[in-house]
Amino acid sequence: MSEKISFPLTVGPTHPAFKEPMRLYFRVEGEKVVSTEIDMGYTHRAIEWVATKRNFIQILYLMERVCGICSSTHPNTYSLSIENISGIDPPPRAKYIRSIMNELERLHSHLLWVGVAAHEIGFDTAFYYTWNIREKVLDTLENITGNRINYAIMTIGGVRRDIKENQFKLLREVVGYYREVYDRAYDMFLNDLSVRARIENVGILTPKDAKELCAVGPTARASGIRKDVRCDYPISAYADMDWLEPMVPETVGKKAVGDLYDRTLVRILEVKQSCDIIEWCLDRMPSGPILVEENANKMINRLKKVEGDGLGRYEGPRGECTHYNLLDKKDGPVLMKIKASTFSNITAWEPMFDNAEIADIPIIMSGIDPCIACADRMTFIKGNNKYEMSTSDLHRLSVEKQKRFKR
Amino acid sequence: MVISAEEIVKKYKNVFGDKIIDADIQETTRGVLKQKSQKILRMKMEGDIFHDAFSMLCDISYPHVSAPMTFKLHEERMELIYVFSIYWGLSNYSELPIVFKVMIDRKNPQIQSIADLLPGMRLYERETIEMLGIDILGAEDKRHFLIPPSVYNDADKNLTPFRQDLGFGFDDYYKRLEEKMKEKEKKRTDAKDGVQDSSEGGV
Repeated sequence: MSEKISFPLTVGPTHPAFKEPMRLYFRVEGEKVVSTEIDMGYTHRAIEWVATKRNFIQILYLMERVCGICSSTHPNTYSLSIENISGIDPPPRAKYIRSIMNELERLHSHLLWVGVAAHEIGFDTAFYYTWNIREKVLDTLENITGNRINYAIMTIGGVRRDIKENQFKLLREVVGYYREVYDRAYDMFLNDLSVRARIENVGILTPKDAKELCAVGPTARASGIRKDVRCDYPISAYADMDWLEPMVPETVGKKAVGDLYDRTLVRILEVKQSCDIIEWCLDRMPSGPILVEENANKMINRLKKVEGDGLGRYEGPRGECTHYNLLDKKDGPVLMKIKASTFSNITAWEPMFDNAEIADIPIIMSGIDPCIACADRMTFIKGNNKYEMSTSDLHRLSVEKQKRFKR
Repeated sequence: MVISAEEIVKKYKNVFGDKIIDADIQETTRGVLKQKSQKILRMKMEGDIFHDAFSMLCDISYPHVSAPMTFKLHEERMELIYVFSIYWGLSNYSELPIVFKVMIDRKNPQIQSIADLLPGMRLYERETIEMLGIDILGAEDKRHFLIPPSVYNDADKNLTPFRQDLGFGFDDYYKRLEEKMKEKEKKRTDAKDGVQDSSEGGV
């Protein structure tokens, strides 16, 4: 019997499946991955350290730049953390606007992910379709805040912009639009046989691993873990939604496997859930002010009297986001700690890659919706011979596999 | 079985006595249409009981790690702050965030690893070793994780980014980086001036 030989395979630090650079070291036996190691830090910006050099209000805009997609999640969680220790309670209307903004962000984040996932398996028609329909929510965000990303709407003690009467109409139109296209998108991703062949039973994360490795968001929910901060520890308008349930495969009567199919299913179900939440908030939008204190200097002075530590938690599109701030009677936190959702899900990659095929590496990487950037090539080292695979080679492998299923 | 934050504190004090230095339950009201309360439990404890205290938490309910460790410095000692949560997944205001503030030595910081009880802690512990210069006893992997090698090349070997007092922190690193940039800029300006001078001379 011939002995199996394993080879090292490095993916990254720059790779088209990543939105930010990182490196994965694999050992492969033929086409099968036998071990995985993660290497990070290529874009470490010391943002928590930078934050300690800024005041409470300046940090809000820094927090928007922690992540390009979650530019509502991080300032929201940061504000919650500061409000937690200072005892500031935002006005009811602000809480509802926050929830609407968060759900609009979830909509565009999930649609972006579904498009990226389609691209990773060589299904570019679906990629263009989802990115096209995503434009509608980005236009809406621009209409409300003036920006497609980095909305600058969250602030300590409320929100900076109100939703006006004509924007109510616009938001209802957007919700209507996504309900109209929902069935087609659902069918395209979840019923198409060639897509199913690529994502069913691929990149499995068992409920035990999801629990022990502290996975969060759709990654954990796809494994049947009913973990959702919006339901477990609700803030803003979510606290009024007794009907809100975590979206898990069981929601549609499917047994959770924890594969890529379930991760796609959960995100698509959450698109519909976001529409329900937005509509619910619009129907019950309280009247009144949107901010506790409009003058930023007065707010800073108020916070300068506070001492202690504040915890903020929120369920972002990728999962639980946590901010922990230490205040010591200064004009900004003396120390802050951010835990972004992706950080929780990275460890969960290891079991997902076990026995995966090389052609499935990009889609498994994308499966957790990592907040990591894209770039170019991968290198194979076989014995003393080194040869490289370009983006197009990797894409070709993926497309070829897709074609095999179509035959 | 869900036991309340108050009962958890009582249980910890019964088992660990004075080693639990302080415990505090913060209660906040949430909701607009319906007012409901949420709690955060904060417990300050001695470093030597940390592993056992965490093991006890695992027995109460399997915890989720919500945030990696942050810290607070005192004169002789420091607080290493862990944020966990229990009762997640039960929905309806069930979750209880639990903050463990573990007191350890400031100059020679050491703490027991809990990755044996919660494997999800592995990366967080690596981050803590790297950022705070804390020795996590029993951690399988103590390699640097987040700071790029180029920063280590520019900084001293004992880089502890958030512990300015312990070694070489980010404050020092960025000061050094700024000086380097100024030096580079000066060289560039000098070279430019030199070129201009010669061209002027030529004219």
